[in-house]
Amino acid sequence: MPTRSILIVDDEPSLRKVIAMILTRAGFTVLEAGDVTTALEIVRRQDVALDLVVTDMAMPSGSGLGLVRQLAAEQPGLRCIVMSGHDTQTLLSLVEPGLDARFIQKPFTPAEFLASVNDTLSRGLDRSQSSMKSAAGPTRNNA
Amino acid sequence: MRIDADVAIVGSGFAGSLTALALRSRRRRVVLIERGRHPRFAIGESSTPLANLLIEELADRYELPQIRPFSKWGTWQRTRPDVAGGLKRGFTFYFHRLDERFADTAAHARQLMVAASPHDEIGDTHWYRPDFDLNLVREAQAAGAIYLDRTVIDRVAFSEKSARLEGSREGDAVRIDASFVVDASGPRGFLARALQLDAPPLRWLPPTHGLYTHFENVARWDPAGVGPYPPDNAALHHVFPGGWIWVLRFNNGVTSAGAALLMRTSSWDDLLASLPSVRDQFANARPVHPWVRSAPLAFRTTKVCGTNWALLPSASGVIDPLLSTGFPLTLLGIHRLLDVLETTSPGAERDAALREYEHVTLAELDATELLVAALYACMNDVPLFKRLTLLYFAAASFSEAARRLDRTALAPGFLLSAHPVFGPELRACCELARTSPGGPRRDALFERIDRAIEPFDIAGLLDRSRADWYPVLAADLVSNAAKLHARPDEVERLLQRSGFTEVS
Repeated sequence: MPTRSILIVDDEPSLRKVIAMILTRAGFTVLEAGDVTTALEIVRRQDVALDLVVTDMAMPSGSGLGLVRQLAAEQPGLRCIVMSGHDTQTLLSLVEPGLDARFIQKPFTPAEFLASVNDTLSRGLDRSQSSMKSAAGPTRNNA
Repeated sequence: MRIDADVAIVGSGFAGSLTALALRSRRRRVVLIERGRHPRFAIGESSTPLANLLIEELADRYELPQIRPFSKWGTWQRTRPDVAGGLKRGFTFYFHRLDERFADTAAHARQLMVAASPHDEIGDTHWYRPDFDLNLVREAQAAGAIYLDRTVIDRVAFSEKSARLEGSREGDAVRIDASFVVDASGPRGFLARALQLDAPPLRWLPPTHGLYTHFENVARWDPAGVGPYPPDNAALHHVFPGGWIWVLRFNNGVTSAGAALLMRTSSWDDLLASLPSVRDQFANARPVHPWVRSAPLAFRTTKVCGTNWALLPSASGVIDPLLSTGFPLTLLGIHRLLDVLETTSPGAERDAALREYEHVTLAELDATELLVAALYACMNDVPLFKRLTLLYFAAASFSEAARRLDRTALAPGFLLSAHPVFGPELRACCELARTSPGGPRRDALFERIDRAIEPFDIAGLLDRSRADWYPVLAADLVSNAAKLHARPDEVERLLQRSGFTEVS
């Protein structure tokens, strides 16, 4: 089975590098973009077959949500995870019910992040039986 | 209880007590207000040469001989062995690969040791805050400051000429009228809450998460090889992709340790699971204080003062302890604020001086944040991380020497951030590093950092033959006297005066 390819979109280089390293160590092929424009350029490349896009929610160059909406229009099969510091209530007020994306609330541990990625990819194998509507995940223990 | 004071200081950590001591030496009526009681746990424990010099200057300027011994390991140990502390001979960095035992090359590719002192006698220190702060608050009381512990202030009102603080102490009402209020209560502290000061997310440093406590039975970190000082007698940094761990050893069996992380960790053990050599160091360690989680670790207000109030830098902002910047930033702020209170009268003159105090405080926090943010962005790129730290070490050693030679004007701003040449270069190098450049741009950045450092390098930091082990050598300082606008014999006299040439 070929390695899965994931595009990580975050304007913050230090966090982007760490996430990329976690994904690489987990066996994924990782591409990086520091802004929405670069992300779209990568997604549109003919030589890149992406399995997942992980994007930050708020970036100076544009909204991660906007990117997800654009991808939903351009590449409806592409799965997305949005990393957000917002709480569930705020997210629900920002995200339209039909948007097909998973959310992971910051801050998260590497294990929580990988679980979210693997879960999103595995559910995506049979999208007809999955429900990947907007929801804040995973539950976080603040202790 | 009703108290009238010239200055009310909220918070009795070292910064509040030092400010109280200095003001008492000028016969100001001071009330020092503390929500909790001493002794108490606190981090912010690692001094630097500049911090120690600022302690000496406070001691001399305000005739406070009781604090001077704490500016050096030797005098501290001889005069106040009852106050626990630790020996800090420098900054030790080890760069770890996840899930691999630490290993290095003969050229020290995965470590960096920068000495801050030539021998133990004039070494820097770690302050065991439960003892250190208790001692200072007792000194402040002995000097005549009114000390109110277990006192909660829940109302503060400022008029044009004074402030009124109201609250309670163990059920009794407390009212304090003061001409000026100093907030020394730390990040997210008294005035930040009472005045709802704006504290937006930092501009360059992403949110980091702190997890820390005090331990006992932490093994010494003594890998093979002889460095410029025993690597564990230092601020020991274990750096890895996504964060770092500090280890500060005190002389009472306690070791302070904690992590600053870009991502959350579920526990200390979980974090150490991927750092096998660090896990070995803590194999028999036991926490002696409850774990503290801080998320985010950093904090910064946009406003620092008003007509009759001011935040010390420690209350206005905390960035990250990566380069032990907290003490010097706070002590520089104490000096500046005392200047304002001593040399200006209430009114337009003081307001203008306070605005300048605010400007400098925020600028110094900004410079620190940008450098730390650049270092976080390079935690996967060890050579660039190490080269960037040299900007700090060059600025810090130059600033200390210039100040000791009474040439403070040569080193404006913390990290030389207000220097017309170094300041912009520092910012430019950090901005470039944050973009994680590769290829020719990365090579050019290394060269640019070297060019920025060279006019201020009085410590042999550009001598590659040292292979990232930097001792403190008199020859470096003397041969670079001209950079400090001094003659070699002036530097030699300074070295004798400061105990540099004393045999350990």
